[in-house]
Amino acid sequence: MLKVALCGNPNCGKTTLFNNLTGSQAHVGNWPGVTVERREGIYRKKKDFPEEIKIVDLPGIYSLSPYTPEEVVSRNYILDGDPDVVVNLVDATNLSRNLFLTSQLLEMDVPVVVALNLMDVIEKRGDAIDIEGLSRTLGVPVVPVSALKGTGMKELMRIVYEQKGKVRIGQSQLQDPELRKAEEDLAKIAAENAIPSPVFVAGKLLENDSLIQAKYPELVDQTKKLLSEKDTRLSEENIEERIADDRYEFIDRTLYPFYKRGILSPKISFSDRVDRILTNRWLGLPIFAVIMFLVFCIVFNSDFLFMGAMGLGPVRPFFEDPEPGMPSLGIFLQDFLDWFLNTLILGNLAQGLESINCPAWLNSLLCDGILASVFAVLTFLPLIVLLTLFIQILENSGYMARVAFVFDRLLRRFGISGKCVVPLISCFGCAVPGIMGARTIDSQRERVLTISLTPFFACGAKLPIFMGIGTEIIQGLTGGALQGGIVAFIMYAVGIVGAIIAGFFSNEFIIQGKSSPFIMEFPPYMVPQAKATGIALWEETKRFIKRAGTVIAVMSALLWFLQTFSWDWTMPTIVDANGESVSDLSQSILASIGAFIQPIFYPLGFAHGADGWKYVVSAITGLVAKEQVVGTMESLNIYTMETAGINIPGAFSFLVFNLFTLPCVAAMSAAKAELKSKKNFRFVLVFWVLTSYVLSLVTYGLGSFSLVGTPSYGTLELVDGIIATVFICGLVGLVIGNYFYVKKNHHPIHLVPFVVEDRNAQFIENRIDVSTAGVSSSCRERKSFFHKDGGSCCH
Amino acid sequence: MLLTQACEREDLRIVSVNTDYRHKRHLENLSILKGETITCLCNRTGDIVIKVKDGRIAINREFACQIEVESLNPEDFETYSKDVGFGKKRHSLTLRRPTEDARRRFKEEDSRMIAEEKKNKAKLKEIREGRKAKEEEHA
Repeated sequence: MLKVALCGNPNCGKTTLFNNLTGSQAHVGNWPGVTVERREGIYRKKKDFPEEIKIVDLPGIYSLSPYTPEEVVSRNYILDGDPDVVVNLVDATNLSRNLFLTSQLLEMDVPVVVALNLMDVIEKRGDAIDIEGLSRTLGVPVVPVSALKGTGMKELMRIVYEQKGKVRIGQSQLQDPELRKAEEDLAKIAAENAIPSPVFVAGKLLENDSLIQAKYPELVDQTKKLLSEKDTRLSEENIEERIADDRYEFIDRTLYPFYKRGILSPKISFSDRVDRILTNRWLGLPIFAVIMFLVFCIVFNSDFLFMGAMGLGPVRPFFEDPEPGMPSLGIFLQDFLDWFLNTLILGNLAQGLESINCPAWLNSLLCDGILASVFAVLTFLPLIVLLTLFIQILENSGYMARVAFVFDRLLRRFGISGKCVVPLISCFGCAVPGIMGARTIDSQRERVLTISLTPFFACGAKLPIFMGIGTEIIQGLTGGALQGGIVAFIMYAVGIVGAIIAGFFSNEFIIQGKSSPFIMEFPPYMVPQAKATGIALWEETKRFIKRAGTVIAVMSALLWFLQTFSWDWTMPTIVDANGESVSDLSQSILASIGAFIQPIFYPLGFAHGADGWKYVVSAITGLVAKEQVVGTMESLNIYTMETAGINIPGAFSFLVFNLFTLPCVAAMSAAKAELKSKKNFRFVLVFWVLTSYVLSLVTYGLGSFSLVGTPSYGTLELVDGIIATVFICGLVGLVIGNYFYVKKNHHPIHLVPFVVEDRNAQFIENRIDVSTAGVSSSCRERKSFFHKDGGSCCH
Repeated sequence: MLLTQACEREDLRIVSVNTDYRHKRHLENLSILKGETITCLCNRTGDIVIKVKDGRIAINREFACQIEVESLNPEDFETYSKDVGFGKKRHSLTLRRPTEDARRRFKEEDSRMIAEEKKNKAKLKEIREGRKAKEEEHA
């Protein structure tokens, strides 16, 4: 089997090429850092070659000196994964920067094939690249391809296969005679020690690369000896800068005769002109807010653009009592699916089963137990698909990187870098890719902070909880004043504001430190590709239906048994108001388990009362999958206003609890894998449990002030109200106290002695040049919200 | 001057990058190093987007002020001072902006560029269609 590694700069189209070659459907996006993990596949046209070709997709790297953890994955694979051929994918629209990586790859002892991607854009612009000339100068084959259009794939694979078994000896790419001599001398020493790719290792040793130094400690002294022997400028500190400069100079000189700019290569491009508006100092944030509002209107506003509230628009179709206005697309589709599943299928199925004398318990298990829960969850499919569509458009158009930039200034005050925004926005779809995407952040402190904030950005599976409880319970309790869509919108807003506040507090008092610099490449704007978007939507649909059909069906069946049987294995029944005998939930196994845990949740406001245990059970089943919460509520018969047995503050408290609490098992295991150290993981778990418990208690405490004077206002509400008030006053007091403390001591109060454990410390090594002292002191980085930064930085 | 003081559309050369080893390496990988010519595309009160080679890179303010640059077209930009803040904290800031002339010229350049782009697009389309027709004839 031939092993082919795909490597190249971030966002140059490696995953698109990988999908094209292997027929896989890996997630692609138009921003740097979509792929954070190695991915393998087999070339799909197996008949073309006598053996299978394994293709390995790697995260993007700018050079073989890694900066973030996901870049380490790539470098380690290229160095130690032993690939037979390395395909260096190069973005032809930014050739000179991309060839920097190529010039390092060429120093390694491995066959390299350069694939020039985005040739369709080059042609469109009227640019011309002399491919043969480039190939001659670089000394390796160069193939023009277009990963998006799929052109040049066969040619690429043919040339890759030709490289099989060939031995390529790395050549020094440095031009400065002094540097070249040093590198070659060092390479000789490395070769004597039987080190693979000696030229590459020598180059990295000259650059003071800490990973190579750690790997071959025996060579470090020899490097120093060699450099001091030469008695040249080489032993000065900036040797790595000289090497980088040398490489760029060489690239520019090599490239010049082979690259002709066409008439459509303007200095300020269309993307730049769009950027001028979208990243504008004043307009940037409002534009983002408007876009989000539009998404909300289209996806889950039951009153599209508030036309109904203004008395405009056509009469709503499919509704019994006509109202003005019309539902948004998402709500319309949801209503339709609800009618189709519940009325058409479930209603007829129950009748059908009864007519063929099916046993009552089987009918109950199928219709009331499994299908009712599964269908209650499935009706949210249109909303989730639409939400995914908008996230996809946001990602694939290239706007995501701009959002991160626009938010950077705002979030930096709260100790979060704009880089964290990208993974956090993908959390709106699902928390797992969001948690994995945190790898693109270069400081461990911010990585821990980002992962701990992921539940605050409600994932698609939490949408049914908000919409369901909003529409079925809160809308009814408030007499229609608060519609489901508005409740969902409020919850999303609470999440985002909560994230900013939690970020502020944890940055100020717990995991202190300065926020890392924001350096990010802007991708050019693109019209989102229909195919990639379609695949993403299909994957999401498949995942959702699969989850409803497996996890939720099994859980519902299990719950049905627990709620139907009592401990003595009988089915207790009770006669209800209509004179029919139904199963008595209060004597079931589930009720006794629920009642056991219930007291813990008493202060939160949704757990007291006769039906309180049902909410507790629903929230806990959410750990398996958040969609299950609605499914459980449906099967426990608290999913309507009449049977809810809860007041408005209680319902909101329940929503807040579900928003902030522990995410599903999948997200928790992803977090455990990403955080690497047990200490950090424990911190994050405690953070999630505490925030959800405290915030939902505060929600109930504050909300219950509206109940004063009504019969439902009791001791619990009074105590909760006092706790909430004390808590908020305490926080405000803490912030004010901190203000004076920072003024006096120049650093904030350290409340919890928690220090982020950093397993990647060797990459975070910060060696400070002597020359920086002057500049850094005049523009100190902000350590606290109240810490002033240097005036000279102000524009 | 510091990179944070650059104006939109200003061509710059990097004089020095004064940051720690790790970030300096990262900037080198992105081709931001001493001697490189860059163009400032956007300045949001110090948060900067620059064009380096053919890539666009965003840098935040705290970091941008660790990069020292010199202007390649200094005659197009002028400095002016502005008082900011209230009460005791009122102080004057030295800021930069394009001169009247330059602003007018940039505007003209912009509109000319857009017009040219349209013309060139049409021209390229013609060329491409001509090539296609020839190929078809050939076939």
